[in-house]
Amino acid sequence: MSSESLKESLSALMDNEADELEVRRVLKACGDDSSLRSDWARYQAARALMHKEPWQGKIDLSEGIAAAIANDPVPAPATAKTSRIWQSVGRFAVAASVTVAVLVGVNMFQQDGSSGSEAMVADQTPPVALPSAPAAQPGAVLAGYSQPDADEPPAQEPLAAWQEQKIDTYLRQHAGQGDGQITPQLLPNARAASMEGR
Amino acid sequence: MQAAATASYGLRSCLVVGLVSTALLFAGPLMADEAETLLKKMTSAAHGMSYQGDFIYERAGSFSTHRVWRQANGEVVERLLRTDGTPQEWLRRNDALECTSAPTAGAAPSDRAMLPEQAPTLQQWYSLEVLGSGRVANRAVTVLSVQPRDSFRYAHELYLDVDSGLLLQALLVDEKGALLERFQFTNLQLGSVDPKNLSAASTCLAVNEESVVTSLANDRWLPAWVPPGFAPIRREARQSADSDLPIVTQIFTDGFARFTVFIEPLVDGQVAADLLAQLGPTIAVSRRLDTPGGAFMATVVGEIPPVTAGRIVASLSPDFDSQAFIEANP
Repeated sequence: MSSESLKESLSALMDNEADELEVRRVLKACGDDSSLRSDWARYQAARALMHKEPWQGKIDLSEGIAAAIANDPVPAPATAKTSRIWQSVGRFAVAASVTVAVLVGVNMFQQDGSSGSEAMVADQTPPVALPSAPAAQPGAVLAGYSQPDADEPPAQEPLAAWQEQKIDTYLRQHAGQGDGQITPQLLPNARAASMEGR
Repeated sequence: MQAAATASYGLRSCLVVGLVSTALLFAGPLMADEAETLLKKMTSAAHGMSYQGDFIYERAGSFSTHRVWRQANGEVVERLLRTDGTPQEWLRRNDALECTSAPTAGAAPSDRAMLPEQAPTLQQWYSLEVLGSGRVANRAVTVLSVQPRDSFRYAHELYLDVDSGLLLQALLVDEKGALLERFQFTNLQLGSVDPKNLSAASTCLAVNEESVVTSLANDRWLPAWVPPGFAPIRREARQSADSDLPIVTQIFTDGFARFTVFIEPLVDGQVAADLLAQLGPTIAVSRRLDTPGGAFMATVVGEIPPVTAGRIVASLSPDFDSQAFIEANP
């Protein structure tokens, strides 16, 4: 990997346009390459200036993120982006994926876990994910729950935009209905509020 | 990069739990009856008290700050404002959402909490223990541990104000001891609230009553399995934008944990992937149901372990009766 293309990836990352492989590549390279790391810091400062964000240059978060993804399976290479729509979906997903980890084709429902145990991380959702995210070992989670078409391989295609949006709506709707719990309404309210503006 | 910054809080918070726990002055386990008394006090305080304060909410991938004003004298008015990022606001009057700047969140009417009627059965599913005392928002608190008796639900740690009984801090912890979310007051003032703080900004949009929904009598579409102790509390049908059939939602709760089942008919061309998504403490598991009466997407969303959610969704599979669904939702 040339340093030029790394810088391009870094630049894409700064613009929230990096795909998950690029994110990985940059994080990995930053571990060994101090000049790339200082480039990153400079880009950060520049972007903060452009966006009028306060910027504390001494905090380096890449280590924590790298640690968080160290145990994640390496995703399959991203498929070619075929349309502009998918490009923008991809960009949205990069921004959102730190808060929502989505596994498609988890195939939780198959009988014996023999097929499809290699769950796909949806290609538009990089694995810079929650440390506590899918603890579920795909395929193995629900052994014993039968389903007629259990032999079908897991879906390989990226999550459809409508479905991603639907899940998002469900999450908000669920968070907004705090009744039936002993803990005060304030807690589900805070959950709902934390979903806004992401 | 901002998102990356918040992700690291999730990592750090696990360490914080350990520190907080060791910082407690352990008073030894007390009677579970005392714990139950504390819970009852918490519930009545949450409904009957006036206060204002600031709190933080943290989960994997998100850290946010909030302010609440609550006035309870006959009528209860509660205003909630997010104090970082884009302003987000909610105003509730007598538990009904009056306006919101986030139209999709909390648009449903809200019932009162189930307690205290449900309290006696809580201890069947959770063991309650008073861990000791501590300090939150410069106030003395009693720390209550709520441990599940099976693996179908998460553990809670509740920090209750000694004076008022109010919940000042709540932690949700998974089966491996990892912190899933933190809710914590940083300051609290009890007593009357200045009325001018109880009116929302103009960006807070009135909630459209038309989005309120019909209730259903038929329950044949319910999951064949839910974890013991979970009871259905509210069922609704909302009109789907895509289909003549409604989206049916059913909420279940065991008193501490809550999940919602969504059943939505798929229209032509919608290909639904089976998926598992996680947003902090909240899990969503979807699966496609192909029935003679058509294809549906069933989704369970809740603060429950992924395995529990998957099992609930799986139980819909063979027994889901699409004919009953269609008859019940003409």
